[in-house]
Amino acid sequence: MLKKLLKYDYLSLRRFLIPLYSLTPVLALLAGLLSWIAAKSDYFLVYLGLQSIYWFSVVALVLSAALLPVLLVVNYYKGMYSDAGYLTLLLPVKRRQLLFSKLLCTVIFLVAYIVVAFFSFGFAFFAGTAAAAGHNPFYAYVIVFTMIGDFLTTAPINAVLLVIEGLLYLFVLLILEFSNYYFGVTLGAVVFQGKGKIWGGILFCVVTDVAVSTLLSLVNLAVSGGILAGGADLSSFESAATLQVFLILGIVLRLGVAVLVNFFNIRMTEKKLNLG
Amino acid sequence: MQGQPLLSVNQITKLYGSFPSLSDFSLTLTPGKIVALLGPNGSGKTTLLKIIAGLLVPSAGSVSILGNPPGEEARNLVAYLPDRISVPGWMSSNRAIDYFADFFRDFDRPKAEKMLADLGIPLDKPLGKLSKGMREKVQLSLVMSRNAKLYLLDEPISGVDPAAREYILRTILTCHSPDSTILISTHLIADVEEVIDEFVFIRDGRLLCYDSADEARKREGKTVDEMFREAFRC
Repeated sequence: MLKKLLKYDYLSLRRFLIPLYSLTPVLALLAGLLSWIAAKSDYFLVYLGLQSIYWFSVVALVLSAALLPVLLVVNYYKGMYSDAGYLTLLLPVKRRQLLFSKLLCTVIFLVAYIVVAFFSFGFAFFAGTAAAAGHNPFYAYVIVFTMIGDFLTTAPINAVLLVIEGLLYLFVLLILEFSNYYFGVTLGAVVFQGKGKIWGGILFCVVTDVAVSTLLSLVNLAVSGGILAGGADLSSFESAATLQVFLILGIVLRLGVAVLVNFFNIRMTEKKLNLG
Repeated sequence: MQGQPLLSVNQITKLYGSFPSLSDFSLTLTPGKIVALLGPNGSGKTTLLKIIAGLLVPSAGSVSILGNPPGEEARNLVAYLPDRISVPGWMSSNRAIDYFADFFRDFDRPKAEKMLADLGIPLDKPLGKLSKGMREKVQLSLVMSRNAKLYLLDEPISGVDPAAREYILRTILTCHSPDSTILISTHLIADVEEVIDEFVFIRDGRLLCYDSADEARKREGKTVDEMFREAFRC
């Protein structure tokens, strides 16, 4: 059943995310090329004109990135608690499968967007700087990949571990973030039954996310304060290993919090929800 | 009213704030019946159907469908047609058929395809681009193409033209089997008069009357429509 749920969640997200994902590199290419040409231009008016269009493209690019979480939250709300909820919530599947499918699909799409954004934003922002320094427009990527290559050559195990840890951390962060949002949307639907559910959902999205983030920041602060108060020398191998352990514990903690948030979300859709 | 109960609604109360939408409502339905749920606006018909379907949680009381409380197993037994369009507008009729076939093991694909063809619905056009009436027909076709034990139909004929209404009522009769029951909420009593076996009158969230249509007609010498008008005269 999970496979089928994932299929329809993918189809539901694909219809507006694929255009957004296509728009991002197009805008980035436009912005990068404009700043590249502007950097090479000797004419002030041409420079000014190109720069203006460049900034317009950059703003559009940033807005399209900022729009993504909003679109995901609204899509979740519509699929669960608006009219479509009369179909979704009556499927003969477990509520946890329903929520897990939506969350997993969201995170996969977000990871895909991060890849798209990495290549798009790098070009949009650094093509002009590279041109001014006499390099090709893709010079920022050359630097990044050279650094990765060097790291892989000199310390391959550390590099691989770092990449795995980094990806895991990113994945868990996204899961936690959207677990908070989706829990907030459900809370909004339960509290504001009928009227103003979407705005209530968005309000609770923010409240839940701020509450969970604050709690985790306090835990982080206490742990890192404890390490420093213990007189740790951060340049030593032992301290670096200790930090690694705390990093992994941080990932586990966030995953645990995400599981807890989702547990409450599932319970609420089972016991408290009134689709009016 | 004999046989194994298909649906048991036991002393259900539903409060919206302090306002009771349903009060101490009980009803037991047996298989093989078409039952009309009749009452004026705001009498609690939709609330009752939503509670049976599992979309609303009652403030008190319980519901069971063939012994199952509203939940995963009960959702396999109940086909619910809401009073709004729930199939997303981005889906085409074909995609919606796939969706129902993927999730409901009792879904009859050829039957759905035939119904949609009979109603002249384009299969590959997104539902969002069809008229409201057409979307309602698609939704009804999908729900009635399930071989469910209990059908809950909330105003299935109110938004469609008279010709389609006749087709839909014929479909309801065709879908009806000895082991399934159809609970149909409507204002258009005259239209369903001929097809119903039993009727339920509901007023202010309370059960006013639950009777066999034939027996009541013989006893009272009136149609169900006339009895309704008498009971709910303003």
